[in-house]
Amino acid sequence: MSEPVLHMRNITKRFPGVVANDHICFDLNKGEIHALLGENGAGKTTLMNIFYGLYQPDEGEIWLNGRRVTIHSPRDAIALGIGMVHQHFTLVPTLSVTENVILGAETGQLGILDTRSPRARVAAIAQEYGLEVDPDALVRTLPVGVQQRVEIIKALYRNAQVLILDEPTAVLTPLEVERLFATLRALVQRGVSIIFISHKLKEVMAIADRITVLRQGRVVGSTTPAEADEAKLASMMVGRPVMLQVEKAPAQPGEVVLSVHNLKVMSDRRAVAVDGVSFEVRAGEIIGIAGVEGNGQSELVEAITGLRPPVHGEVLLCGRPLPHALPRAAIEAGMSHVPEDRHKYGMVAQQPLFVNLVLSTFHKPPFARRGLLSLRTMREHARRLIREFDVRTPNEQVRIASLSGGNQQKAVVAREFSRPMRLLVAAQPTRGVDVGSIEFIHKRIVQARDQGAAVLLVSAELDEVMSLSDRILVMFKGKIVGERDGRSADRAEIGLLMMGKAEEAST
Amino acid sequence: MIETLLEVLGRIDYLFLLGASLRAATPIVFAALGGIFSERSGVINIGLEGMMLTSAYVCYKVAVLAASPWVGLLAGVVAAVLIALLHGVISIRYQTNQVVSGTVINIFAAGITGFLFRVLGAQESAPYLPNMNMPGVRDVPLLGNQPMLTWVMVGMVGLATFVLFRTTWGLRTRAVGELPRAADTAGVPVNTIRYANLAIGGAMAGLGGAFFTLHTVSSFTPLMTSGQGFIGLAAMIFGNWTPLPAMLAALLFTVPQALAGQFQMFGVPLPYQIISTLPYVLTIIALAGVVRRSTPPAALGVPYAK
Repeated sequence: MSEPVLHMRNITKRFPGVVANDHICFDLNKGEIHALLGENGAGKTTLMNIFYGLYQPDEGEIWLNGRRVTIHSPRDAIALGIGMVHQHFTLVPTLSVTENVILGAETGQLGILDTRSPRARVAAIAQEYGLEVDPDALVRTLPVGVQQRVEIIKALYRNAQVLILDEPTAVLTPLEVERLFATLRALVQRGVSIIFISHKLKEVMAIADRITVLRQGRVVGSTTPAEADEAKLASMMVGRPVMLQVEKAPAQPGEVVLSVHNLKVMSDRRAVAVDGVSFEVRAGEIIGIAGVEGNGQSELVEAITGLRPPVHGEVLLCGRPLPHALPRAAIEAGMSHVPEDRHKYGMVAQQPLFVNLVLSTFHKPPFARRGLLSLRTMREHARRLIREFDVRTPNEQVRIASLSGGNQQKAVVAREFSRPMRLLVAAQPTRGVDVGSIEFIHKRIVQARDQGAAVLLVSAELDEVMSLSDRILVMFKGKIVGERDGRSADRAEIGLLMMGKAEEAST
Repeated sequence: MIETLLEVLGRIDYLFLLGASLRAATPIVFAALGGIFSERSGVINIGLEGMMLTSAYVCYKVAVLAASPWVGLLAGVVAAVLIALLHGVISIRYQTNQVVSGTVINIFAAGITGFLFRVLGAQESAPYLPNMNMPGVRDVPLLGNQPMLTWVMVGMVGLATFVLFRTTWGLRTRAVGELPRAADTAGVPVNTIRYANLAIGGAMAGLGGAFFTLHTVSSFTPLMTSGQGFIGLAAMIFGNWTPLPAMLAALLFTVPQALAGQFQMFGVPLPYQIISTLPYVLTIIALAGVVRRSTPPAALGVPYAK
């Protein structure tokens, strides 16, 4: 094995109340892909932000190419040949691809911008690594998969020898993931070393040469895809054995609970987001909607839950039309909703946990009588839910914002599952949630189905849709472009449908 | 009635109209440019009015004391830049709400200049800055000869356009105003860029303020900027944070006034008051039609913290 390019020794970083990195050692060899695996909050991103100069470590040393370095800022990191593709892209939407690439590394005389020669270099890099992109396109017009290519080009333009990718596949379709992996392999061939941060076991197994697992700020162990399997990695991440497959009996669909007729919904930008969609969800079945994000799923869910009035069509709950834009009517009719953006629609961040657990029912007995709230009943109710749903919190009175994302999500799920439910609309129910909690939330969804609820599941995670759904609908550009049986559906075929390639999928 | 109107329209001296409109628009455009630099870098700047007023006072006082309009001009610009940097410290360093900070600056400027005016008095006249004949239009009567700062303003609109869209500085400024995190991770010092653009904005407001005391009248009166800084901000929004359109928007405000003068001169039986309302009517139309489509810098008003 060649000498390590990077060696991080005993890196420790404390934030108020938590040790984000606790004496972490990590090394990277030339031309390898080293995956950093761990749940959200395990300290992966903190470690890489230290390496990229965004944070300073409290203790520890960084050695790069045999030299000890201190990295005070991203500028230092860039100068040392380190490039980072952040989880949330750092591209300016209103600038062109070339402008984004050269930002901070501009060339030209007297401060006058030179875009001609950089443009040629961007094109050359794109060509060499199969990162097809139009150098003159405005970034905001590009799909996320292409934006990611721009991020990689940005790092390569600065001659990055070490490339950090933070959760790079979170926003990609299966096909785009394949393509990204091909690019990464090409990069490694040319001597670039890659740190691949992820919490997705499948991908880590597919791309990594070595895998280091972090848990609660510490290194749990290192392994290779040849020595490990997904179950082993999952238990290393969580600290206990985890069920990766959802166990469920065949569905026993009953009467129609939700029916959507020819629904047309506009987006915030006044474009048609949902274009004449019709489907039904029956009691006791899970309908999964697969699709790349931004193909109208959000607007569809908002229209069904009463958050956004449709311009055309109707939504029937148990045969009765739902009054538009009246979420309370939907709640009273027996709808539970786990929203995709919990910060926007799922919780009141600065309010205590126990208040958040009764947001949809606080106005009714036993929580309120004659307009007066019973805080005691609310607290008792909260303590019960915290136990039942395993929400990790010091007590029920802390602000919900102080909990980790996974526990916030469990609190939202707890609230929505705690009242009688005829229809569950779950949008991205496990987003930002760790493997252990995913397992739990999936079990509860299946349990809700088995108790006779109709479930509409919307998720950008294809694996989630495939493993939970009894029927799968694929959404593309606002339309349902395919329907498959949940048990016999083929992953690759659904992937093609998600890309809008219905012809190829059916042959 | 219609015939008289048509006849008058035929007799109007359009060059004179353009000259008068440009002159009246000078402080408005400077304020708009000041707003464009600040806000393109992501800092809301409603304190331009106060910066202009401060500059107007300092220009007057120093020009009198030094017996030189040039020294006065320099001092006024420096004063406005200092106030802009104060806005920077409050809103960038201490991350106070930028609208509050700007309002404080406006109130402070109104108070301090009014106070000094009363204490120190303003009997003497300040020396004027010269008018200039612009080569090329020199021989055109009524247009060729304009206050120096009006020509500076016209040149500045071109320069600002070039700086914003054709230089490294402009690219960084726009990036910082849209997505500071992107600039930061690319090694661009976000807050330095913001301070510097605020200072540039302050200098613009300083030039705008000088117009009042070193060109229009040679003395200071309290609150003499009379909201032109705010009209400049409106012009900036109409112009979608872009220099040339902002200048055209400023002319939208001043052309009707100049027109009113002409109508009066030719005795058009149209009450002066009606024409004076034109800018406001146009503003309402423009607000309804334009502003909805305008897109402010995405990070406008958001302090940057890592």
